[in-house]
Amino acid sequence: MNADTERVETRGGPSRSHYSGVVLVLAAFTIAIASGIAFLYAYWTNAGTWLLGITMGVGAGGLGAGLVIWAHRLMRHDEASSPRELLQSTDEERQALVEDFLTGEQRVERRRLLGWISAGVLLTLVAGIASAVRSLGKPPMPVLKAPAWKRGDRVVTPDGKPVSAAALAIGSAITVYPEGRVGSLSGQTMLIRVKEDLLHLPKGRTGWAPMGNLAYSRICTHAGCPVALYEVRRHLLLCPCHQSTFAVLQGAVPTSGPAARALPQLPLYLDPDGNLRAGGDFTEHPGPGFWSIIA
Amino acid sequence: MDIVRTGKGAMPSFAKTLSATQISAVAAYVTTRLAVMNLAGGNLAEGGVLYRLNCAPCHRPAIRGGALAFSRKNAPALTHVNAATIVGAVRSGPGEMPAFPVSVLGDQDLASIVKYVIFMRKPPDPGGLPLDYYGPVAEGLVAVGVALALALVAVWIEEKGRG
Repeated sequence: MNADTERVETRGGPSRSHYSGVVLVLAAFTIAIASGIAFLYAYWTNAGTWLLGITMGVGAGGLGAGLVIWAHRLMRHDEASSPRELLQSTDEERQALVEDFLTGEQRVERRRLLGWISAGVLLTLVAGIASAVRSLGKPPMPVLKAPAWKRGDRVVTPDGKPVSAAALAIGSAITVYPEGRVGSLSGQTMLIRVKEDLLHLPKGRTGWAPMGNLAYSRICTHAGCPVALYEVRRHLLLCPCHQSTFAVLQGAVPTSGPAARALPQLPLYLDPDGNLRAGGDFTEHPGPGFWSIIA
Repeated sequence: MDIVRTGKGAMPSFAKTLSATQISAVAAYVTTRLAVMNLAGGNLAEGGVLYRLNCAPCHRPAIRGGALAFSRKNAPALTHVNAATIVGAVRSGPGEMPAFPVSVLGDQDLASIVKYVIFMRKPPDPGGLPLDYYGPVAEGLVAVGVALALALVAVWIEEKGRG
């Protein structure tokens, strides 16, 4: 193919199909912007998940269709090549370049319009997605940083009843909360009763398990799943998410799996009525380690 | 009553240690215990909450059972167990399962849990393909797989159309 004939075509100016292509792209992008705005409206007025899905789908579809039409109709598909000769161009070629550039300038104008409208599409769609992030809720950080238990808090069952030291049979395990904060995120605790003479807690924790009642944070130190799977015969707490196991008798140190920290233990004591109370907060912040790093 | 005499699984036979009258006394006690529990009085929603709190970590929210640590024995699926078995297991804690005495899980609560388990044997299934009730993550994964396969088909059609 001769380089001169190429240039003649270019110099001929934009064709009809070029114009219709621009119109199509503009139409597709306008639809995308309209659905992006509709998504934002539907989201902030709680119009329902169906509308959210449809508007986001049409918006992304409009953006995709516009980009495809742009690539097919407005961009060149032929490969231009010329034999490598002199580096210096001839005068005619230079003149032709100037003319090409002037012709191209009009195109640049038109492309600028397309550029603006595609920026508009991206802006509305990104605004839609960004506002939907609000639905993920409050970050758990501040809740987990606040003390979960304080000394004297009564241990209660999920229906708010206090737990006596003999309420659990040996080999029982239930979820308990601090009194008045049933269902709290950071206060959720596994209460396990084991035979007292099996206990082998770390130093400084003597008397933390009256009558064999042990309390550990229910949030896995690896990724924050509830560690509520207690295997009685092996005295293991197992996290169902990534199979971290914690040796209950040894202060819930991790024995296998990805968790690196022991489950924080809650010191317990018996009040005069024989009910279990917290002797203080957990030994460490409950929850996975990375939350404390991010803070 | 038969199970006390013959034993089953981990449970030994008591035919030699207990007399026939003692065995029937045990059976009578268990029967009264079950009769005392008004299983019809359970509340399904409450049972769901209690089940997810106490049972779901091992048996999965959809009662299809789950794995335990270092063992080929899993927490069994509860799709084929009857109410009496559930009550017995919750109160006694067989195998690795912890026991839940009446002091921490009342009879009414247990009745609600039984109601939930029986309901979950065949829960409403509007999608038609439950995928063993693993939940939305598994369903999403399958949907992504199907979408990828369709995309590959589209690419193949285009390649074929060009050639």
